[in-house]
This record gives sequence, structure tokens and C-alpha cells, in this order.
Amino acid sequence: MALIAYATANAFIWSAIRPPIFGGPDEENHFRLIQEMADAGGWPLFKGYAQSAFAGLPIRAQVAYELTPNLAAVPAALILSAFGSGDVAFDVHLVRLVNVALFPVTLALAYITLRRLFPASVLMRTWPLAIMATTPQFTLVFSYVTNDSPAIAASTFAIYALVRAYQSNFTGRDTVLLGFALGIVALHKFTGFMVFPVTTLTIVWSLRQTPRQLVRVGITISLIVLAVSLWWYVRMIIVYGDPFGIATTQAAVDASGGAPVPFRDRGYSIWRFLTETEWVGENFATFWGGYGQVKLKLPAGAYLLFAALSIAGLSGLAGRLVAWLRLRRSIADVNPLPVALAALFFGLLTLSIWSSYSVDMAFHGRYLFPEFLPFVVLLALGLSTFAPQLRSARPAVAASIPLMVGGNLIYTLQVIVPDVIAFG
Amino acid sequence: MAERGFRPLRRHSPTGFRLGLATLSLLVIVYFALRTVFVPVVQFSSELLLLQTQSLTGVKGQTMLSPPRGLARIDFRLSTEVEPGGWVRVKFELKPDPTSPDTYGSGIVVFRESREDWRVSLRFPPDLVPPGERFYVRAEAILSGPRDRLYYWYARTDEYPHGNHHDLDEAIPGQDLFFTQYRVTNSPRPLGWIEAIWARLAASAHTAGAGSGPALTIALAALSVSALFVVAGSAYLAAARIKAPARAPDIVVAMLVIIAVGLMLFMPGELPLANLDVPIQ
Repeated sequence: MALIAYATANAFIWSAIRPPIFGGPDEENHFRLIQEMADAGGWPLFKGYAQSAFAGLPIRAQVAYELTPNLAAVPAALILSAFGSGDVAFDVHLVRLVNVALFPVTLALAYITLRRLFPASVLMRTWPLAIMATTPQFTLVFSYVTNDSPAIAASTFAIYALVRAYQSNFTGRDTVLLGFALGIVALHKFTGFMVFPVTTLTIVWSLRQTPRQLVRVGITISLIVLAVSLWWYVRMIIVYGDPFGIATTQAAVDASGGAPVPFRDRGYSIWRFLTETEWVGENFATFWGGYGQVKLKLPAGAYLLFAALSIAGLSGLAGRLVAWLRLRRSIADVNPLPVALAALFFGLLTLSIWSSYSVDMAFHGRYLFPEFLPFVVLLALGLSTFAPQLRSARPAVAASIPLMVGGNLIYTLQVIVPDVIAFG
Repeated sequence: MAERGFRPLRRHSPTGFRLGLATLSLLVIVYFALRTVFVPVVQFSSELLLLQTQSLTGVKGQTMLSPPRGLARIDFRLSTEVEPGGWVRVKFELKPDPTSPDTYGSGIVVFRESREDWRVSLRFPPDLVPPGERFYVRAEAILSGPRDRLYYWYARTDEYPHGNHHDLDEAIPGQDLFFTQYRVTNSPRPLGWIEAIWARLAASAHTAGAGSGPALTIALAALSVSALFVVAGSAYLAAARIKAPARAPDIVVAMLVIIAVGLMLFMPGELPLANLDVPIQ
């Protein structure tokens, strides 16, 4: 509770002290869309890009803002209509409150998921939550106007619903909740969509012995997802003839002239793309904090610490896999939840690399945040592999939670504040 | 290794071990609590591309404006290349302007080793430089030998609107030495820390057009209370993992240790010898 309260107050403070329009990547565009919704009383139409809109830039759009579903823009537009003053600074701060409000929701959903995954260990559920509550980049996306945080909240909801449904063996009420959660995901940014194939595979695997229940659950979930979200895709087909808007966006980008050609079309190999653009390093850095070449970056020591933690976590996971292989257990005994969580995070990572390579260079770690919960679970699982060897380190693990809070506070004072008021 | 060294003490004299830890942590906390708290009032973005300018004439300087609420500290970043046994001596002077024969105060620092990033901190009483007025910081260097070098970190773009970089007391328009101005807090210690945090957040919120109204106050209060609960909860978890069930003295010791470690870890600039303090008198 204290961690969630801290994170919420922190996100609110960040939303108040970050300059309007410049709170984070693309805030201006996201706010413009909400403002148009408030003014026109409907979802804005995509009219293409201005001539040479992407000329000379390193990036091209993947999906236009107007073509990306974002249900959270609706309450934002309603609030703006009701309480907006016409002053841009006030209005941006007002709309940011919707994103701030999603932070405690996301963290609470994450916590109840962690409680289900690790019922016996307080540390195993609070430590990952502390990572979520104090990672600067994660706080940032909940403090400015963006469609990332609603997608993260929706995806976290779906993961919670999936874990809950799996643990109850897909009983009626939990199946309905899962269908509803997936429907909500379908009405947000596509970065959250990894949960669809993973949920499908988890259900098929879990219910493979009971085909009748499998069919019943599949139909129930599909119907609810369609009931919640189909209208958006039907509208997209009617208006643009393109359910996902990707082809429409790419055609518009190309028509604007001078846009950079995707690396795949330039004949780059994946390896050459990754090494020349330093994709992994830059995405890793911006996963924790910062954007652009220098904006809001963390000190080098913090990145080294996160790199060490990530490598140790990965090693622990690899160790668990090797131990499992050595035991030669039947694959039927596999608990699909850790596998599903791994598929969610690594699947999105793979998709992010592929879309960066083949469509537009997604040069930012925040695109992986819809699977931040699976990431922290995997990290905790990986690191806990070493727990038997490091029993005396447990108090230090508990003590690291307030130190994360301390680091987050110092980041606010030494990075966020100077970014607003310093010269240059 | 340290764990092995402490373990016998912890086992044979748990109360003594606890007392020792608590005393050590309290010392650190009291040290921080009694520090003079400075609030940055003018600073350059860390995202600026900073360069180094060599002091070839021996005299560098920067004109500045003293903030309306007073000035008590100015930090510069310097680099030195010093031959073994050599030295670089720099006299810092605060003057009304580059041509004035008067001086508000001066202080001397001697560098005896090469280092890329010296943080030189000029400290002086808040009433030394009249608030709201322009003044000049003059730095005159003497090098012990021809192979010694002194560099100042600077911005080659005109970031600071109230003054310029000077060389041999002549302005170089469009350039600024990299510096940070601080004022001291008005609240009694240790409340100065709260004033400093509030001043920074309020200044930022004001710039962002959100004002520093009751909402920010409530949020900061909520942040502080919840952070305190996180520390207490984690101290309980840590104490329970050392010895279950956790007792109140163990939790208090764990809290003190966590706070002390946090202060040292996240405020290294306040530790002794972190900056090269130069008293200006």
C-alpha cells in the first residue's frame, strides 16, 4: 500500500513539475488528439501527413495517432470538455491526471497478481512491485499525456485475469473477466497485444485434456472480446478499409515524401541493424530512464547496476531451465504460467526488434512496458535461484526496497527538476 | 568478507552489535541533519555539451547576477594536469565587476594532482554579495611549471543570460563557464532539507505552469509519509529475516541503518571531501 501510495504521489508530482507538452515523448501529439476529441465530440479522422513530415528524420511513424485505439482518451476528453479552461498549460496538467490515476490501478493489479504467483513470500511480491513503483521511466509514462500508460494498465489487467483464470481452472466468472480484460487490451495501443497469442496458447495447453471446456472457454472469451472491442475495428474498416491502420499509416508516410526507408527494405541484416543502431543498448537504457540521446538519463552507475541485475536474473532463469532439463520431467508437468510470462516479455521484445527493423525504428524501452509485470516476475524468479546460496542476503533484499525509493527521489531532484529549470 | 568478520560479533554480543550499528547510523544521520543545506538557484542543464577551456592567460572569470534571495555558494568544474611534485594555485575573487579595484572576498585553492573533474565549491556568507546585483568571479591561476595545465568546464553557447565568460577580464560574448549558484535555506536544521526539496519542486512546478498550490503540498506530504512507511515496512522485513520474530529494537536499528546507507549512497556530494570547498573571506 505504501509503495503504491508513494508511486502515485510521485507520478502526480512529476506531472505537476514537468512542462506542459514537453512532459515526455510525443505528449504534444497525444494532447492534440484529446483536444480534438473534446472539441469535435468524436474520434479525429486521419488525414495523412504534411509534405516531407519525416524528411531528414531518423524515424517514421508506425501507426498514426488517429489510427491507434486508445480507450483512455475518452475519459480524458470528457474531463477536458468539462473542466478545461482553454489555457494549454492548465489543460495538459488536467489531462495528465488520467494517466496518473492509471498508475495505482496498474500497481494494484500487479500486486494482486504477484500475491497469486508468490503466496508464501512477502519479499517475492513486494520486491518486484518496488521495481515497478520506482523505475524512473515507468513513473514517467504515468505522468504525462500518452497512450503508453493506458496500454500498460490494460495489459497488466489482462495478465492478472489470465493468472486468476488459470488458477481457478477457467471457471465461468474468471473466464468472463479474462474476456473483458482482453477486450480492454484490444482497445489500446498494439504494444499490449502480445497477451492475445500467449493467452490462447495458455488456455489450449491448460485445457487440452478437456476439449469441451476448451471450446466453451474459447467461445466465451472470443464473444466477450468481440463485444467489447469489435466496434473499433469495424469502424476502422468502414472509414479506412484497414482494421489496424498500419498499411494506411505506411502509405501516408511514403506519400509525404523523404521519409527514411525501413532498415529491412534497405537490405540490412538483423545483426547489422542491431549493431549499427545500438538498438539493444539504447532500448535497455531507455527502459530504465531517459529518452533521446541524453534526455533524463540515469547515471552510468545505475545502468551498470540494472545490467548486473538483469544478467544475474537471466542467468538464474537459465539455471532453472537447465535444472529442469536435467530432472527429465514430463512436459505435461510444466506450470504454464512462468512460461507464459516469459513468452509475454521475450515475445514483445522480439516483436519490438522486428517492427523496428521492418517498419519504424522503435528506439525506446518503454514499448516493452506492457510486459513490465512479466519482466519483474522473471527477474525475481531468476534472482531467487541464488537464494539458497545467499540466505544471509535476504535482509539486504528487503532493505533494497527503501533504497529504490531513495534512488527514485534523488532522480526527481537531480534529474527531473533540473531538466525543467536549468539553463540550456 | 565483511560479513564473515561481523558474524562472530553479531553472534556473541548481539546487543553490542546492534548498539554499534545504531550508533554508527545515528552519527551519519546527525551529520547530514546538521549540514548547512544549500538550494541550487541557478544551474546549467546536465544535458549541455560541455567543453574545456584552458587557462592560457592565467586569468579566467564569469560575470553573474546574484539571486534576489541571496547567494552563499558557487560551484565550478575544473580539470588539472599537474606534474609530479608540481602544483596549480588558483585565487578566486568575488568583485562588483571586472574593472573594479574593490573585492567582496577571496579564497585560494591549490591542486597538487591531475584530475578530470574537480568540483570546486566557493562558500561565503549569504550577505557577502548584494542580492539582485551583478558581480564578477575572477580566477587567477599560477602554475608551478610549464607542463602543468588548468582547464575550466564551459558552454560554448550563450546559455546564461546574465553574464559571460571572461578571459583576462575581457568578456567573451556567447560563452559561459559552467557553474551552479546556491542559496542557504532559511529554516533551522534539519528542516532545511524539507525547505530545499520544497523550493526545488515549487520552482519546477511554477516553470511548468502548474503553480505550487495545495495539490503539490498534499502530494509531497503523501510522498513523505508513504516513503516513511516503506522504510518502516522494509526495516520490519529485514529484521524479521535476521531473527524471527522481529522485535522493536531490531526494527529501529534496521531503519537507522537503511536511512544512513541511503543518505551516503544518494547524497555523496554531501560527504566529507566530496567537494573542494574554498572559503571566501
